[in-house]
Amino acid sequence: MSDAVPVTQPADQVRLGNFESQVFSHTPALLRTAVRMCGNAAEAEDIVQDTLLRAWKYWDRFEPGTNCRAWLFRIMINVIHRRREGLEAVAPHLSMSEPEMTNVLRFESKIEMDENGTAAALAKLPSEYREVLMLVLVEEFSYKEASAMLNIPMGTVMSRLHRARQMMMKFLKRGASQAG
Amino acid sequence: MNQMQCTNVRELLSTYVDSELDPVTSLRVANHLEGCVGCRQEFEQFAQLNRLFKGAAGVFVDIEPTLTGRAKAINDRVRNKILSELAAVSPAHDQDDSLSEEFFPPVIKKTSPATAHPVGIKRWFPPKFLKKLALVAATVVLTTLLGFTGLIYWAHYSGTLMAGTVRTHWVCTQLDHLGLYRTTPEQTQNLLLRYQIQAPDLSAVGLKFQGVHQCKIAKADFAHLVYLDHANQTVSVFYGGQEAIVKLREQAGTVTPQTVFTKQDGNMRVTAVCTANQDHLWMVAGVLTPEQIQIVTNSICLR
Repeated sequence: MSDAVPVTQPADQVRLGNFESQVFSHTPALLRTAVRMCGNAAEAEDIVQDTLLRAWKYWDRFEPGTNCRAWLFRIMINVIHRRREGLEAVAPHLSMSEPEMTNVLRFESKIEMDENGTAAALAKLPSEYREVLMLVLVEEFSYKEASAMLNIPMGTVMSRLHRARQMMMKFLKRGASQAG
Repeated sequence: MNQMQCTNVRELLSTYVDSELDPVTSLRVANHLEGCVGCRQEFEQFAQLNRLFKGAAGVFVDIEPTLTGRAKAINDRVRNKILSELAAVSPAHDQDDSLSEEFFPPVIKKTSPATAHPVGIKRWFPPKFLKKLALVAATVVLTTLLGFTGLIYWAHYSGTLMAGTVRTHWVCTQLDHLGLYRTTPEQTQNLLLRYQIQAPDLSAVGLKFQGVHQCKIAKADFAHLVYLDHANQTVSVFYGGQEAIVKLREQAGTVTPQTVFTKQDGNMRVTAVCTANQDHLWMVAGVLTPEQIQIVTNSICLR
């Protein structure tokens, strides 16, 4: 942090204080999910920073008393989707829906660090399965909240979760047999 | 309660393990699991997977140790960025707001001055409000212009001569009241000279000449002479040349010298008078009695 503190208006200071107290406590959860969703720590930090700055920009739209965590996750999902769309537009042949390619391109040496192989199995999932799994299983959002965040029907959340779980089990079993 | 098939149960297991099934279905799945080893094994695997995700030792084993430190560093960076942006608030910082954005806008450009708390006039009149206001104003202006154009076209370019005379009289009266058709004495004189006419003296029926302007009725060219009566009501006298005579002949058949056509439209009486040499057409529109019309017609034809 720089030594010179920029001069701000008292109203801005109050607004910033309010923002910090409600938002900054969710940063670890956002970062954890972002790492698993994009597979790259540096990119995940960039995504979370982008998310927080955007939350600040639209802080007036946040209704006090509503679920701030869900609001932030919704912003982050939006940031990730936009980045993904941008990546696919630049290099359409590097489709994020190809699990093997995603793994090779984006996870680098992280796989070896996970002793249980769960992270590696998660990395192999197509991104749309991975994100729904992260939101429901890790962040414990309800199906309804996940549906709103991802802008997909509840039925799609359910089917993606079911399919994601089956794929995870398959990857984990395959990993276990290879290790054995 | 019907016994559920394994296929149906396994499709519901994922939702069951997340406790998102309705109570009745949830109970049926639970009953099935009690008596089915295969389904229970799959359920156990799903439950184990849930535990892996929820426990810090599972899927996040590689990032948990550094997570808090990294999150704090991000928070510091964000705070610094916000503070520096607040200190250098630019009036242009909100210009990229867009009404067409959905719930959230595009990614913030790293090179642009970032958004800060609105100050000054923007605090009370945010850009979105001003944009909406401008949109409403533009719509009103456009609608007025279109309506105005339609009205002018309806009055001057459509229908027959008789119907057009009534419309033109009405529209021109309204515009005259707005001051749009007021002419100076010099302009009036020039226009009368151009049509080579003089304004008929209709003082016998209490009408006073006000001015003249150029006009169209059923696409034909006319000079519109405006008179006012004692009650300040407008009476219109239109003068058309050969073109108007041709138009009248097309619509009314044979036109002999001093043919008088009269049409009653509400309390409006419209009279067309063809002068003796058939080169000129005079038309009168206004709230006039038949006697007044007769006097006006005579005044015109005797000229």
